[in-house]
Amino acid sequence: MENFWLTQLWLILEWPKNETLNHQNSYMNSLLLTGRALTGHYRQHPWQLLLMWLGITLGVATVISIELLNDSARQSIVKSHNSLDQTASHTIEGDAVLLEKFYREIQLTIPGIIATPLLIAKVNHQDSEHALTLVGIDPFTYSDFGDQVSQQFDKNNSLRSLLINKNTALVNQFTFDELNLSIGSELVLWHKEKPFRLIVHSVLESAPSTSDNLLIMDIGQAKKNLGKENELSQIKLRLDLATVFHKNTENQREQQRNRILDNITSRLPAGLYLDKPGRKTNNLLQMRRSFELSLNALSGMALMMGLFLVYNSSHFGFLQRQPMLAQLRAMGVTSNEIGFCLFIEYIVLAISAALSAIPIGWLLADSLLELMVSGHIESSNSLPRLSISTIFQALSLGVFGSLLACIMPLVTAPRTGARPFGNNLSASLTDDEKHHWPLFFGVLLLIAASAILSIRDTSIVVSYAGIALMMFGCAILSPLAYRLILHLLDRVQRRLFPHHWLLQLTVRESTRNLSRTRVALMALMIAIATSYGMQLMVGSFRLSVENWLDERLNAPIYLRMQQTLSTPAEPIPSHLLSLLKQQSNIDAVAEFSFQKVWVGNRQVEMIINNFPLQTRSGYRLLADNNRPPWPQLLHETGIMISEPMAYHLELAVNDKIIIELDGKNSALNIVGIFQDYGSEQGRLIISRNTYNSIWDTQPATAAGIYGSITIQSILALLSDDEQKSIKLIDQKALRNLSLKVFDQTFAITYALQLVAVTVAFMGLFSSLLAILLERREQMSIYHHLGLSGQERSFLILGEGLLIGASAGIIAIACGEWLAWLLLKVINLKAFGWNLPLTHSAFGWLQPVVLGVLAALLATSYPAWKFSKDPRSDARKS
Amino acid sequence: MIVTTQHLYKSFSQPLLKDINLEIKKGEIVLLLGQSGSGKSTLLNLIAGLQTIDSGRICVAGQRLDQMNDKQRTLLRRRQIGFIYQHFNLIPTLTVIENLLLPARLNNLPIKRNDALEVLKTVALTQQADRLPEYLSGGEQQRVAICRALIHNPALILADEPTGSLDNKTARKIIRLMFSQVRAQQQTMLMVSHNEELIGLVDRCYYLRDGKLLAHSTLAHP
Repeated sequence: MENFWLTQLWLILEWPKNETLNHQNSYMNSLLLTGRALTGHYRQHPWQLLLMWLGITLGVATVISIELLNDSARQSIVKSHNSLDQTASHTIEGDAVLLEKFYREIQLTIPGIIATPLLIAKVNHQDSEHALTLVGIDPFTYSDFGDQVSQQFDKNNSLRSLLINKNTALVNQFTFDELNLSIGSELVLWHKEKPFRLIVHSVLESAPSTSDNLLIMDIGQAKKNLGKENELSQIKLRLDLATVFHKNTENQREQQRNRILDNITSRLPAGLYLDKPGRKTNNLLQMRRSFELSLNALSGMALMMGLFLVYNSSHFGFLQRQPMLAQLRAMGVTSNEIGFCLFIEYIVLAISAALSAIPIGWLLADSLLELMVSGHIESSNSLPRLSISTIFQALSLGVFGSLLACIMPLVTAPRTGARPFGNNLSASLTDDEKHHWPLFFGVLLLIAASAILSIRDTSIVVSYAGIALMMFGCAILSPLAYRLILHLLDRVQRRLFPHHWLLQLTVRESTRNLSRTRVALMALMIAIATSYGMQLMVGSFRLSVENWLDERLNAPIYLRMQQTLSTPAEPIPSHLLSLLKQQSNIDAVAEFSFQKVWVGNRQVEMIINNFPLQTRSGYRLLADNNRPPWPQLLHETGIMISEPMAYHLELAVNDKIIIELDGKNSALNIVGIFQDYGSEQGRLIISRNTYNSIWDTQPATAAGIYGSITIQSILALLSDDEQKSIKLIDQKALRNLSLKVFDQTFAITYALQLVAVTVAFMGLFSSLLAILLERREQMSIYHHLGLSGQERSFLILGEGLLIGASAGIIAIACGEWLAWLLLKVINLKAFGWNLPLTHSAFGWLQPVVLGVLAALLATSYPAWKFSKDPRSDARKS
Repeated sequence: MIVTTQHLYKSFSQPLLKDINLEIKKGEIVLLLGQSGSGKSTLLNLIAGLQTIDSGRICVAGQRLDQMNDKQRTLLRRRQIGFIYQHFNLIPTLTVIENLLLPARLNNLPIKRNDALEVLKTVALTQQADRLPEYLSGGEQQRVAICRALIHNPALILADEPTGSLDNKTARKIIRLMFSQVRAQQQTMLMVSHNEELIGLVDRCYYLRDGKLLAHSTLAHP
């Protein structure tokens, strides 16, 4: 067998060169003629070819687009946090203001370190859609880090130029191209509504950020332009122990290293921390992984739908060509030759469709990127370049996926028996009723899925695999459920409408055509169930978030200082807080401070608050230690942690955790676990008194104001300058803003669901069209028997409606199960929160309506064709 | 002998063919008559290697068909047998001339388009050479099918009710054409039919009744 395939391939490859080899030429001719006979089928049924092509293209394009988006987001995270960190061993940064004098202090007083300051800010340019990142560096000290940027200083005298020429900048290639810049051209940039100008000195040849806007300039100039005379954003550090302590042994150097780090840590001002460059990035990447996985699962579903479509079309193509195959076999074409011709046919189709999927995937990714950017989902401003590996991935997916989807014709077609005499051999189909394997296989898959999903300690990828098995099992069982529905309908019809022969015919025809509509039904059911399940999950999630927001955001008005996204939150002046507290119509002021702290290997948000009674009521407690938790939190140095934090770190009430902040580690007792959907990383709350007793006092950066007040009444208390420096937002606006972000986050999932439903719809359409072709003669008989055009179209419309409604009904059960699993397994594992499954009043109607609508759309053309005089369609053969 | 069967048995749910012994010499035209369901088509299928026998022997063109595997039987059909069906069974996606050239290509025969056109000329279908079968009438399609069965000069031509789908006038024309072509090329033919009028046109005739093969008589050439 192997030799046969190799010979065929060799013949194809060598064919043009072997003109003189008559035997081989003739053999090739016979293969080509056989291939031509087989592929000629698509000349008569171009829609079938188109649907197969679309199936592969859409499926692969969706996967590529998601891959590109995920790549883009990953690169964005890595670049934004690592772009200037590659050669640093540590960085100093934080939410508090980093003053330049601290940099001077450690540089002068701590031997064995190389340090360089960075000032980073987002600036705007009128021709760029996105903000640009301006990085101010000290060219002298930066050179010591020997990274790609500093290496360029040596190449084209950039260092000298940055120092001598005022307001010159190096730009990366992406910015240079996007803004149509030239060397020496002037850039007008804006920061906090103040303009400043820069001259482009040169392009960063091997800039770490290739797709985001990056400008590098002298830090001194940057400070002036940004109005931050004494501030820094980050200090890059490298321990230079080998030079300074060259006489010491390795062990001594290690001890020295620890001493230096302890020394730096002990001097760090509050709100700043010493960190390893990769730690934060890894943490962010970890956070994104769950989101990526959801997108991958959805794109996988779109691919599956696409392959269903390919399976569907190739299956029909095979059935329709079966008589021809039998004829060819009778004439002496061997099974291997037929298999080879079909293999080549599918390979050529798969490669061409996969190649066309690449630009379509790119365009899809570009549109989805807009959604992600507007949804505030971590992503780059632009897509990464198409790599060879992405193209290879597309081709592999297209080819292997298509071959997998076409496996049935590939395996069955060569086994087609030669056409015997005395047999008209119209396309014959297997009868499901005789086979029990779908029932066994479907049930087996469901058992396997349940077993996988019931294991608590599996990874999220394994859980998704379990869900995929569950969906596949449901899909395999759905034709059996459909048969049962038809059987029940047949009984009901006989009892209630015994003389309605058209209804009877519709039900019987639907049962008879099940083997042809089976795959379409499965595809439609999966698409609807996924859509319904996802919506149910998102709906339940949204409702939980809404309730949580209503509870948590219970202060009528919130206050913070005006700030930009790139700067740390500024403290609220204490006199302002005192002023508010003195007002008779203000009952309480909750003073919030936020700190990023490390607990083990997880960075979580610590919320420091004085927790007035009103704020406490916003926390729904899920677990406590049988003692009132709030007094323990306020007076006994207890803390409470969020549900995601408890889940991820496997913590429970009464556990002690070590909190790492500002070089001080403190072990605190957990006295309660609260519901929280604000951070999947986790949060902990601590009273201001407890915090101040361990760490340096933190000023409040946000405040919740309780009482009978309005924004106007608060503004009336303040001077003009104070009014400009603060931002007040009422509870409703903040709640709506939060929900808007929530909805935008899920917009991308809706877009992907739409792709999947569209592909499934096309699958149904193709099945019904195929039935139309097969039933021409039958319709002609109905016509001769006196069925009107309307009655004939009723038959096909009725069948479509039955498929659509049944797919919808089965999808309700499957979708409910899916939603439950997404909430109770995936959400829990990915984010650590436990969400209840909630239903809207008529939500269950949606899958049925969706199924019926899809079926109606798909059947309208065949129904119209059937309503016409079939004689006009009749083929002479 | 082109076809020899000895003690051939075939049954499906019940015995259909019992102890069939048949010999067809080179150049003979043999007619097989019988009622519907008598096993005529099954016998044809067994001789063509399209179905396998339960017991006995079948030799076609000197080769033991009952000892061959599927691939060997396929290659035997490709080289030695031409088929004419009741429903023509032309490949719908190939043009008339491509349908004609297919057996030649499969057998590596150096038959070119012009040669095929010459063959079509004998059945007055040159004008239709590049049309798809669906645009031809039933009679035209059967003429193409006859040409296709003969073009690679097979040792045996098997025909199953070749005029069953045609009107009487066209059927007579087709029979005349088919027999004249077969005799002109000195080929061997086994034909199944209900039409007893054909008895006078063939070399020998058999009846199939109750699973047994009964010789009718040996008749003179028309």
